[in-house]
Amino acid sequence: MGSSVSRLLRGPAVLYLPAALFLLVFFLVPLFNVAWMSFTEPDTGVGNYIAFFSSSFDVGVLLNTFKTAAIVTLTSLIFAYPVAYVAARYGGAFGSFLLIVVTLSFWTSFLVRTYAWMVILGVKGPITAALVMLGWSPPPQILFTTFASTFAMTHLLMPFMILTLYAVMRRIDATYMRAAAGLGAKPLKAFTSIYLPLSLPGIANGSVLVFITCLGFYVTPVLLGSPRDKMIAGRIGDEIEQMLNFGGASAMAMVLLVATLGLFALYSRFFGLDKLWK
Amino acid sequence: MQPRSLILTDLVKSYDRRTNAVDHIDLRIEAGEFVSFLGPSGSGKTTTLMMIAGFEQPTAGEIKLDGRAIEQVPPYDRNIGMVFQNYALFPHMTVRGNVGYPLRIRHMAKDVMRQRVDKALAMVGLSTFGERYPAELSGGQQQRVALARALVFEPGLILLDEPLGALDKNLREHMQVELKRIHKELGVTMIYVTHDQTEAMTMSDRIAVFNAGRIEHLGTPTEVYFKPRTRFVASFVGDSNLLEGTAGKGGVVEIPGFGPVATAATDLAPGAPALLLMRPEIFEVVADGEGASVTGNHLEVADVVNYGDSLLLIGKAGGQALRVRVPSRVAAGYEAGGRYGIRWNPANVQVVGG
Repeated sequence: MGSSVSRLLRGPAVLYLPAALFLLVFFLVPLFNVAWMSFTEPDTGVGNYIAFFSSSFDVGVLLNTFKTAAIVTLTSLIFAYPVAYVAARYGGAFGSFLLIVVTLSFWTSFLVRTYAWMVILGVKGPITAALVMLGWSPPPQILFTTFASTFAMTHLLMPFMILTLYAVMRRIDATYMRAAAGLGAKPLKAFTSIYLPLSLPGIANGSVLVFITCLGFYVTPVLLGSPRDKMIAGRIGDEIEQMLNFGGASAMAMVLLVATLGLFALYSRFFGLDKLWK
Repeated sequence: MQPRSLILTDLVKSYDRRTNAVDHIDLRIEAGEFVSFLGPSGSGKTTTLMMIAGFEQPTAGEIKLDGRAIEQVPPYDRNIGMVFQNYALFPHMTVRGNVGYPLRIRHMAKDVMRQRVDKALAMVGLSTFGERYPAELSGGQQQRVALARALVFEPGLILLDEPLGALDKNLREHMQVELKRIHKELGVTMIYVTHDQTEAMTMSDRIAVFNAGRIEHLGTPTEVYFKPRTRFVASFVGDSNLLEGTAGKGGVVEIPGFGPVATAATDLAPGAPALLLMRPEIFEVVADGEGASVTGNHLEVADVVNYGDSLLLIGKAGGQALRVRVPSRVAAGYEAGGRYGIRWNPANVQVVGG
């Protein structure tokens, strides 16, 4: 036993050790703790789960979270695809400029960008001022609406989508499109029959990344959104900060985790596409 | 498949408005011909091909396909088959999907499509590979799929951009024979871009030798090889000895150090400079005393390169660098440092540009 451990410690496995230890202490133990609390606080049993699923408000929040994540994923895909496409296909100075802009926003913290949107969309912000100048009086409420939080989340997550799409698109050989044209395909047909399917792995990867990140959003919907369309992370926060109901909050966290893992399993079952095409 | 004719008139392509990548090219290709564009990289041959295919816009000049000007026609309406250097097979489609693609684009009926695809696959010998993906094929097989895809819609003109460049030597020779067979069977017009002179020699009806954006020589392989128009053509196509001298009387050219060389030329002005092409294989090596050489020239061998089927003797004769190629014989025994008599038939000496 002693000799096998020392052999392991000299082998490449030892390189995993720091990361494994770190994850154990700072990820697995707290996670296990949350799971434990969801079944033991305040009483042992599945009471917290029964309470969650029998509250139409809580289930509504969960569904709204998934709905919001789906909308954000779709809108960021729609906005990100052309940007990634131009950067990957035409490259050059303009392509690099696009990528620098995207990366800059990628490096800026979520919180800073969220506050920036508060200023821009606020009552005294430039958008409202512009609407008033155009004669829209009284100006519509923009901040603290579903639109504001969805819009901001789309902006926050778009760099993930763009960079993921770009990574896949850059590997799509430009001669495929020439070949398609030479074989008689008009540009739109060549795009839908060749480029779009070849970029599918990027769409799938980017969508999963954005969707799952969005599920856990806390700050943005709380700061920008309407109080009516709460997301689950905000609900968990309320439960802890205002109710001090650690057990209930833990149960909600576990529900979110299991739902996310389930979704991820579905994704890898149906969208293992990138392996198929090299 | 109705073969198509192609006429290029004063064709120019410039990327920077100062130098011409393609520099005033005139070329007429008859229907059903197999023409090679031969030249070093950067000579304009691929650019010319891309303009014919429609992927590059000419700066000036005219491209006529079957007598109709096509410069303004987008590539998807030109109906020209093209085989790319890297094959450009669509990785998410099977072999059948790839070959059927141009037919699907043309909304062909399902059963007609199946027949056509079957026929094209049979033609390139891949009938049993229809359900595979490109990644599951060898380089040679991918090349055949690309060819099948280029001819399945019966385009009448097929462009091939160094299609065999990535294949190993044996496979390349095999594919050359296959391509020629397909060309004969279909009677289609083919334009074949290559920098490999052997390929161009063995396959073409005519060769257009490109250099610096111009066609320096357009002719049959025999003409290009034995009667090259310019020094470049003489040195690029085949192995060559180029000797500079001064014309004398009766087609004789005086080469300094080497002596007078008789040629078949009749129109040399006495006293004018002349460039002689003597292919390494026109020489015969003779033992001293055995009839001796016509001119008394001797080759002082500095190096012997063994090609298996032939030997290349590199050395000097009369102060001129000379390469002499002789058939391999076990008993020949040529060595570096040796001195051998050489002779040749004057009928095989060419005056370049004459």
